[in-house]
Amino acid sequence: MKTLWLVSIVMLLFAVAPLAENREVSFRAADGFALNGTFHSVERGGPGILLLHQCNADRQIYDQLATMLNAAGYNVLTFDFRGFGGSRAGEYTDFTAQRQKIMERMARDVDSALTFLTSQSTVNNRALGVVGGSCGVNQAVQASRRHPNIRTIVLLSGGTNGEGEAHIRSSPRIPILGAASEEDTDAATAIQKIVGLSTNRDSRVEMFKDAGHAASMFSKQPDLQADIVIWFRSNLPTGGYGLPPAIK
Amino acid sequence: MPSRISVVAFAMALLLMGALVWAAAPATGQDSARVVTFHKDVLPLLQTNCQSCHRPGQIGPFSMLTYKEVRPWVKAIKTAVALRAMPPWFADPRYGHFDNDRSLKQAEIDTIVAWADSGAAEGDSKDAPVPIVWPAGGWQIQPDVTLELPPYPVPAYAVREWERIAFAAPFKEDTWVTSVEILPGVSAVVHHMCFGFQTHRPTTPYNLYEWMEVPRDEDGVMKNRDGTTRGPADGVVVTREAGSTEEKRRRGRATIVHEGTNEFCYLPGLPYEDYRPVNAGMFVPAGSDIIVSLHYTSTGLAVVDRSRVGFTVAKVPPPKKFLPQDGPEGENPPVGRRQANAELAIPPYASNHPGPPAQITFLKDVELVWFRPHAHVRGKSVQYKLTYPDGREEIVLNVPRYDFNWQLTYRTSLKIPRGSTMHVQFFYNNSTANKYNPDPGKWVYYGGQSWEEMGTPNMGFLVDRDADDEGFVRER
Repeated sequence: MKTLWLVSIVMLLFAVAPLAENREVSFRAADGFALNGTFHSVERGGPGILLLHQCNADRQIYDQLATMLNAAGYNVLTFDFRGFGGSRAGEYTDFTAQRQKIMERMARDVDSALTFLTSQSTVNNRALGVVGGSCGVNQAVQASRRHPNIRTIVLLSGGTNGEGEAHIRSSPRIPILGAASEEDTDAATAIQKIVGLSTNRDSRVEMFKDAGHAASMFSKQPDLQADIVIWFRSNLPTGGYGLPPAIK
Repeated sequence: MPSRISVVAFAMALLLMGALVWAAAPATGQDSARVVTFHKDVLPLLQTNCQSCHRPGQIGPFSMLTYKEVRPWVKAIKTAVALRAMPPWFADPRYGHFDNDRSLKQAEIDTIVAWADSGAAEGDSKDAPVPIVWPAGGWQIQPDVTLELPPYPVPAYAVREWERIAFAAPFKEDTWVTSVEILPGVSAVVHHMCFGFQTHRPTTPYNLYEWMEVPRDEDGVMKNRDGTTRGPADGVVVTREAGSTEEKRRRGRATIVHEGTNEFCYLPGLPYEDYRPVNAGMFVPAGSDIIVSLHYTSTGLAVVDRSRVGFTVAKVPPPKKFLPQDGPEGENPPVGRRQANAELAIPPYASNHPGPPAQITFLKDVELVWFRPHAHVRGKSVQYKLTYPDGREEIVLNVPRYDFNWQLTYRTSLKIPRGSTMHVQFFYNNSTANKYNPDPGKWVYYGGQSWEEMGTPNMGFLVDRDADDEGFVRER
């Protein structure tokens, strides 16, 4: 049975690649702060995926993954949290020095990003996914708690809080892909704990050795990005027949 | 202490034995020492088996034309071929023989796996085969004639019934169509798109969508469980001009009638129909109409579908004529079919529920060349079992894992004598283990929507080009 599911997953990966393009975007957070990102759209329409970067990098760390997901039929939004990359301005210019202030606003910034993503004409807002790396892991879990149209999450090297754990435990319909590197001990333990709490039959962990932290693992484990695309093709289908029909 | 001569003799004997062993080693032993490379070993396989879908503008999510494009997907490709998930092919290899079997040979799988496991070397580009020149415009076939369907707006939330629309066929004279490809604009919303040819009737309007209103409950399930997809022939007829959003309703019967069978279809995963390999075609008399049957499914995102149809046509009439059989229940020569669709009722959480079997009787000697089983998202498996007049039984197609997203045609050549019968059995999975089950807690009945179910054993036959269709039908 497990093999059959794997076959299904792989077959879904190999179907449907719509025309795509990407553009630089800017949208306002709840407090009016300008957040900058890159939106990869699918001309024919499809699900939307939000990529949340780790706190020792900016959105560029997802450039290749975003391109691969987009080619596989997904609208993808990457954006810089305030204080990172293109979203450094005003009182938010240095994450290290302003860590607490920035972290306190992250959840609302994620909501603003989801609002932007789902307002795009090519995005099917019944079909959303989120990837979170390191400090983005908890944000991804909390986002899925707040937004029921998030159907699957991918978590790279990080943990969540009690509220997040309770959400995972009570959400059998949300499959989770976790990944971490063994020597990244705390992150690896946290990912294993989160996925272990999931009651979805498809949730699983990929554990590597000497691969680094969160999206930095892509450079040493180049197959991980393809694995993430495969994961979404299985758990967030680009066609209409993996989703409940939209009749009302 | 051994003498110098004995040491030399021993060494020579060792060398000789080594030479004999080397000479006796099989050729594969020599090959295994050679590095498997992309250009020399893998690209030819990708060209033959993968690039038709995995190239820009096609359905594959990534291109397989170059090493650079393929490299990030090495592990995924290895997994796909090792599991025999790609290329997609679902026929149980223990039964039947299929001309269009797309599955890789074990040696081909071994090559790809060896390449991936040995570091996926690129090799020398001088070893690469000549690139294939693919048809332009997104086509898999190179059409001689094309037809663009009117833009069709699919709302974000709605139940769309099966609709018909008629056009004049794009052929000015008698024509033999030898292959057809339907290219949906937005494949995610197309449940099916089929058509057949029919002599024009003065009452058949062009560019008008027409469908019967089907009474449904709040979950979109047909209230009338009579084993049809359209409900009663007399009812509320809805029409909409192409390009307009205004719908008109009247009581009565549909005016766009198609008495034949659908001759060509787009279904999820079905690439195209091609009768050239069996030297056959479909005859389209001059002045025919195309009657298109459309079924769209809303996904939550409003889109506009712009579908195209491409045809290749024969310069000289082919020796054989293709006859599809996907029509309604009853006698429809060369076969008669009985199937109690009204009795289809799949209980909640049932994981392997048998549907009402189809019992097909062959009314004359035929050459069966084509199977295309059709069920919806709860379809799990299907088996075609032939019983010859002498009582001998033969499983001619077994699909142990039916997949709605890959509705393939299985091409074969079976000479079936008159009096034979075919028993076709579908099974359904309405459990939580079916990932694509929209609601395991619901009873599921026969109907045309993807959340309802069907179990249609479509088949196709070859007859001589000059076989008289009228005479054929007179066997009724």
